[in-house]
Amino acid sequence: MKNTYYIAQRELYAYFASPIAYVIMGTFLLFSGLVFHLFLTNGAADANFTMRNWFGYQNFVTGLLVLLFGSVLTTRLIAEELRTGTLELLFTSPVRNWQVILGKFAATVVLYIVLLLLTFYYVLLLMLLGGQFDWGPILAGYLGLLLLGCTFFAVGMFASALSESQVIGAVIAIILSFVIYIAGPLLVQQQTGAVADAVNNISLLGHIDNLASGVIDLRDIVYYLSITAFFLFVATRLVAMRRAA
Amino acid sequence: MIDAEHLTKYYGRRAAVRDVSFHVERGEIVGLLGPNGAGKTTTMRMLTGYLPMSSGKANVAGFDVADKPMEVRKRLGYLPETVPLYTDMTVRSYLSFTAKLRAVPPKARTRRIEEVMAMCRVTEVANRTIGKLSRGYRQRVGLAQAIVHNPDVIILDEPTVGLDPRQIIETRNVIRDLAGDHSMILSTHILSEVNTLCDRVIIINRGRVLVDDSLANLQRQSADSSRLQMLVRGPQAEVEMRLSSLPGALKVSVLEENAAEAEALTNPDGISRYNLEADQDLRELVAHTIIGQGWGLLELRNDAPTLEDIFVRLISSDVDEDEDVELSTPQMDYPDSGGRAIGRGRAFQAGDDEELEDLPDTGLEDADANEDGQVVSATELVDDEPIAPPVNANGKNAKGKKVKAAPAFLDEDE
Repeated sequence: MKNTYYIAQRELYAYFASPIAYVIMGTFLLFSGLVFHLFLTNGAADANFTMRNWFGYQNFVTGLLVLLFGSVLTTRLIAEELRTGTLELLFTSPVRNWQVILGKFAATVVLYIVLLLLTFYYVLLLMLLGGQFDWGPILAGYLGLLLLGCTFFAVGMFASALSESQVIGAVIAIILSFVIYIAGPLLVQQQTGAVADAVNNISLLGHIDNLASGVIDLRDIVYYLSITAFFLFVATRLVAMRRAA
Repeated sequence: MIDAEHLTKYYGRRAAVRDVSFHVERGEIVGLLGPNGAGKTTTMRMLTGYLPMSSGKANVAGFDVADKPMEVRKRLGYLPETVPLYTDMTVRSYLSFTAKLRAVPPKARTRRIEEVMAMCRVTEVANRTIGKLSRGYRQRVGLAQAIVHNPDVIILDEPTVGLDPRQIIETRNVIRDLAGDHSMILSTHILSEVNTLCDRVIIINRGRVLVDDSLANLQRQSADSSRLQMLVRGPQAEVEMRLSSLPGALKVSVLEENAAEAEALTNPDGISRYNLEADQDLRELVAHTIIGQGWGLLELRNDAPTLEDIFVRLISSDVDEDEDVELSTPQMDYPDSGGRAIGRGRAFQAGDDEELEDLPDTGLEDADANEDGQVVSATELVDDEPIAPPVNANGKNAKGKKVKAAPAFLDEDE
């Protein structure tokens, strides 16, 4: 566990030592603020509705921003170390592969939590404007975004382990994330029945509505965490395989 | 401390390392020597556990590399060919990170980091960002990283490659200071490095151990013939005749070295430099003969075979004895469309060492024929860069050019 912590610590250091984190977070906040503004001006007057929409209830806008944020941020994680050879340092140190992967993942999650905290000013702003909040749904909504982010990070790390090129990694991450996020529901939009239900249940988007509307369902949480764990596991195996080649 | 038994590594069908066995005692410094692509890096990576071996066994610092990788890693310091640096960190924070990973106890950490920074002479840049350091500093930071946890075994892959002469000397001094309580393997293709640093040398060629011996032994064995060089004032033709008629003399040649001597040659009684090869030591006889003739003997010295000579002889004689199909099949699918460039790889290595990190592994060191179907000798092939660009940076690599002299990698880039 200690090693995971050290890796995460270094990765956070790297995020903040370079402009990457600031630029990506700034961009995210800019667009997310625009989205918030749209929901605020066009939506119902109720503060709870505004936030619910922002969390992604029946829409995919904020989720898409998280997708881009996660993909861009995570594709660097393994690809760069493959390219510069620092992975050879990690893998000849008494550290296990999964500790490396998990440490990097954890650092990204920490960064993301900071980002989510920064968006909390929407809530404060609404309160300032006289909004009355039902706090349960707010927390559930943030939990939903957090879990959604984690899955995108895991997919991003998987893509990052595929190639030494960050550009290729980012493209793969974005396409793959997009497919599991949204493509299913888009394709079967007009249909009902077992197939459509299944597709909706498999895609990430189908699970955000509950959380965004304030319902914390264990199934949704398990779903997100399983996908996250799966991709992190595959990323770990991939890195081990690349070493053997 | 290090026991390698029958290490073998296949990349696809190609064997990069075959049946390599050796042993390194505690406190011993062993030089792993070989041309580019001989399998040095692959061998070292297998010892560190970074590369799984296809077959064979390795025991490092008392633990089996395959069964107890974590125990081995705790006791191992490794400097890969591409120095693994996080360029966004300062030297101190980088060393602190590596110390943490290697489980240096928190209390001892700060002191130990100061210690290794002093040993590796990087204290003055402790708070600088690694990305802004010169190569020499980076190399030594890499070295500091490898020894920060005071490992039993240190493995250094080409620790001085790409450095300028002063940096090479400084890095070597650091390595020499480390000797004693650590067992060390260092790979190099710079022969004088072995001379100055190592107790013992293991020469690897084409994935196999060619020689495993002490340097002194190696030099003694190879001194089976003698080569004399002398500067004589006298009629050239006559001197030459006299020398070649000496018992045991094999070959006499006249060397024209500089303008002054060339000018002197026009004078029948001028000064010339001669080279005499013989199957025994003829120094006394030569001196006696020349003086007896009334000529002037200005200089006489024994040209002992250098490590370079020995190396070239060993590598060259290693060419045809092996008929392994996998190894002798030329693989022409490398992206060198402009023909196989033969010559100095180091010219562009300095430019982009990252991409060449795996070169020894993808090497085409074993092809028997070049593009024109000519059979080329090992002396040429040893220096062959498999993924060489069509035109090399220094333009020396004309297509199909044959390299007759000693391979260029023997030039010390110092």
